[in-house]
Amino acid sequence: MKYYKQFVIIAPLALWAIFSLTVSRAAAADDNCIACHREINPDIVTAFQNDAHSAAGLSCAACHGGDQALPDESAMEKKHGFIGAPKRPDIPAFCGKCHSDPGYMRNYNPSLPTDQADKYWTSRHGNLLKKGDAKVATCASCHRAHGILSAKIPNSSVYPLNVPATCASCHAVAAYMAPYGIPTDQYAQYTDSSNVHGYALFVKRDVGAPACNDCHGNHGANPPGVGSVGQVCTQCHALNGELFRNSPHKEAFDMLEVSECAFCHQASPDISDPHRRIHLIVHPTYRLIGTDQRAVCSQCHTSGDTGWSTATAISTERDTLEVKMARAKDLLNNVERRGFEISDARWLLDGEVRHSLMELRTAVHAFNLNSYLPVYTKADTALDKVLTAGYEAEKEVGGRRAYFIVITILIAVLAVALTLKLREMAHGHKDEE
Amino acid sequence: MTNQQPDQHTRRKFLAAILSGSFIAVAGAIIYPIFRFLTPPPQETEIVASANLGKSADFPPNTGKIFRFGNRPGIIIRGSDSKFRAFFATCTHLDCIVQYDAKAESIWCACHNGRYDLNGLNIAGPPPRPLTPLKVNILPDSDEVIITMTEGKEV
Amino acid sequence: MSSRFFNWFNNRYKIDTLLYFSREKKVPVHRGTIWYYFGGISLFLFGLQVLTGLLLLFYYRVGPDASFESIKFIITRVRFGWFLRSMHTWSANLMVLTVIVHLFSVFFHRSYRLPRELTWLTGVVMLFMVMAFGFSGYLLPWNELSFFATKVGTDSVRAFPIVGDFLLKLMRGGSDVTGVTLSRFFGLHIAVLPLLFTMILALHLFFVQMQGMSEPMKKQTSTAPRRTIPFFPDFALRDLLVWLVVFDFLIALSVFFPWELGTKADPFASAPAGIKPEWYFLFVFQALKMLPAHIGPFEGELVGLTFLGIGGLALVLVPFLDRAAAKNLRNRWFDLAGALALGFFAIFTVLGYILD
Repeated sequence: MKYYKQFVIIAPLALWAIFSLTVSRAAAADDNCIACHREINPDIVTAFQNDAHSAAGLSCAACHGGDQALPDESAMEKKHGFIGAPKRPDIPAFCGKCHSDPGYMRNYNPSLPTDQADKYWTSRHGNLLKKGDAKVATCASCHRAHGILSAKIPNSSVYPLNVPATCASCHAVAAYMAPYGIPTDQYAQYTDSSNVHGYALFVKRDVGAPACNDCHGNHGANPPGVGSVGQVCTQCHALNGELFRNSPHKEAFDMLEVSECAFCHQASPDISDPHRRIHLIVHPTYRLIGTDQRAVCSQCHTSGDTGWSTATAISTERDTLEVKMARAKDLLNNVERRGFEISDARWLLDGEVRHSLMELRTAVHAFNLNSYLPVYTKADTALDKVLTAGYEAEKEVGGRRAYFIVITILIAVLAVALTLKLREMAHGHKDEE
Repeated sequence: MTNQQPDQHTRRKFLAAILSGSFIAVAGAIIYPIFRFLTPPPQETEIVASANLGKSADFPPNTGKIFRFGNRPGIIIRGSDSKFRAFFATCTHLDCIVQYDAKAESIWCACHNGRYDLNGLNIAGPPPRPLTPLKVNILPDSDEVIITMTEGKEV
Repeated sequence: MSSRFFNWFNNRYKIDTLLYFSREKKVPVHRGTIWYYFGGISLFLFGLQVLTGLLLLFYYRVGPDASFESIKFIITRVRFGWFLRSMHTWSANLMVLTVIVHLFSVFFHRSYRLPRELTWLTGVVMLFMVMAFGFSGYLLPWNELSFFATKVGTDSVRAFPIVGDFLLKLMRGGSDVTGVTLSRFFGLHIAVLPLLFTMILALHLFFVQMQGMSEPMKKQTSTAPRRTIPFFPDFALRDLLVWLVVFDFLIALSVFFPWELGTKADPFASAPAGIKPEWYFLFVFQALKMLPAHIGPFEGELVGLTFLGIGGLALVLVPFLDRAAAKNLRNRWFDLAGALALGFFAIFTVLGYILD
């Protein structure tokens, strides 16, 4: 306690000195690359601050080699393992140095796949890169070089909502894509307001909705073969795909080399240019099946063939159902507005009927009247039940009118009696005067 | 009081009778609805808090069934372990009605191939959230299965 | 038999003087007699409101999670629930209309003049209370229309300097319209206002009984013999007749034009286009809307509300402002003022409907 005062002053100072020296020492140890390059390449350094690798404690040297402890340009000598910025054709190997090494990756993220480079070499990008085309996408094209974030992070360039724009940065630029002879309107088609998957992804923020990579693959990106588009769609649209596979259309479409699901479900399908709007998948309506101009069947079928008659039968039934549906909705709304109890009918409409209609939409994909009709009958029966309930409720209107008439009559009688009484009293008073 | 003719007198009495009679009738026509109004209706509240699904013996193991809970669909599943589980059957993706997949012993949504485990957790496909659970109560004496909301939740 | 009942009471409470008084009460008969009915109709409708309101109270629950659902329950599941609810709402609207007609008929007849100043005063206070009834009751279903109408309506008090924000918080029970507002309006609607209204109504009726019915000024100063009819039973029965007709009219409205419940209020949704308050507030709403944003150094809305306040105050003080009437003389300026007020009310109400 003798030196208490001095202790209290000196000890914190000493601690602070020790602390700052060690920290700055440690920072200085990492900072040498960053210390210089912060002036020379400020964008890169800023981007790297928000990077999955820097968060894992990996520095510039971890990828680019060199000795980060050296404060000058001697850090970048070959004898220190310096690689520098890789040339485009070398990028897959550059990243693959770690990412294709399961043993190494296990130290950081055991569940992260390590087959990206292998897949990449099977992709269209990889194939062209092998042949010497340096314009194609490499790892850094999509993942960026220095601000690499996991696809689960919303501001990552490969987060589902950002994937279309990332792909479009090359694929939508006509001048860049000119040598390849493929369309550059995929992004425009995908972001069209009528695109059902684009709407789900961008407007509804449903990250389960497919972006480019879900159908084309991530690292093994290739357009799915015409015969396998259906399989790809089936990953989500399981029942529709299964029914289609077992329908006569599968063989026909494969023979014609027309994309299975995507042909009919694109906007304004045209058999003379079957893949024109293959990326503009629109929300299907029941009018897609039929023989009028809004329907797609007439692209291949003509009057007289089996397909034509099936389409006609299906669309006629569906039209009747649609009319009934509109009537049911109107009826229930009308009735509910006036205060009638129709929760049972609503339950049917929102439950059984809605579900049956969804089943019907799926059942269509067998393109078979025999399997369609039972499902149709189910929907029809359910709708009939709804209409009956609605009409029952409406009958109550009569009950209300009846009550009104009864009470009006009674009131009228009373009013007349009162008037007569009043007149009588007036006479009585007159007599009294 | 002046002298009234006999028929005037009967007319007066007749009028008085009509007056009181119609007055009572109108009063009755008013009191009747009031009385009916005050008599509580069979369903006591708008918010449905429970559903009786019958005897538990009617649910074989590894089966699922859709039932009505108020105005929303529910699904009750009796697993292979004979345990009951119940959820609101509305898929958390786009509101389709889910179903029980006995082969995969999980809950499946036909619309976009979404899948939930028997705890309602979304395990595959686009559903973003688990299913909302419901409480299964089995009455010991009558062996009835009663579904109620889980505590602290309002419809 | 009835005389035995009467004697039982009379021996204990000496009510025969009261009966004598009521038997003597006379109602003047003249061209303007028809206007006498409107006070009675207002009273009848108030009674109907109390009755239907009490019945609805048996099932109504307060709260953002309960109000809408409870009314849905009343309308769809409770027997005659739809009927009582529609009666309550139609009667409310009709009462406001009747009270306004009553106000203007009393005004143009100068019935507020000496010695009936306090009758007028209590009447105007009741008018304001009726509008408060309407405003508070409108929120209770907690549906989309009422939520936003309340939001817009309470927003207007913000224009007042210094006290504006405090007033807003006082009305809403917070900064926004929430379940707290609902509780507050509910308490106001079923307890505070009915109590106060009944007290003032009792005063109003007491004054009328004590002073008898006012006659038009010309009649009062003429020397011609007055035609009268006794209140009991003649005029009372006529009153009853009129009430029966009004009652049947209300039933017709409820059966053929039942009130809808609409959609439940969602505080986070944006207001639907063209949201309007109830028709009796529409003239204020529309007038305020049409004012420019700034008038001189003041906010347009504030100027509007100030004028409204002055108008309200003038309405209260009419008997004291109209000196001529005290001498049974007709001051044409007041006729003009009344016509202008009526015109303003009518025109801006209509504009409120036809403009967006």
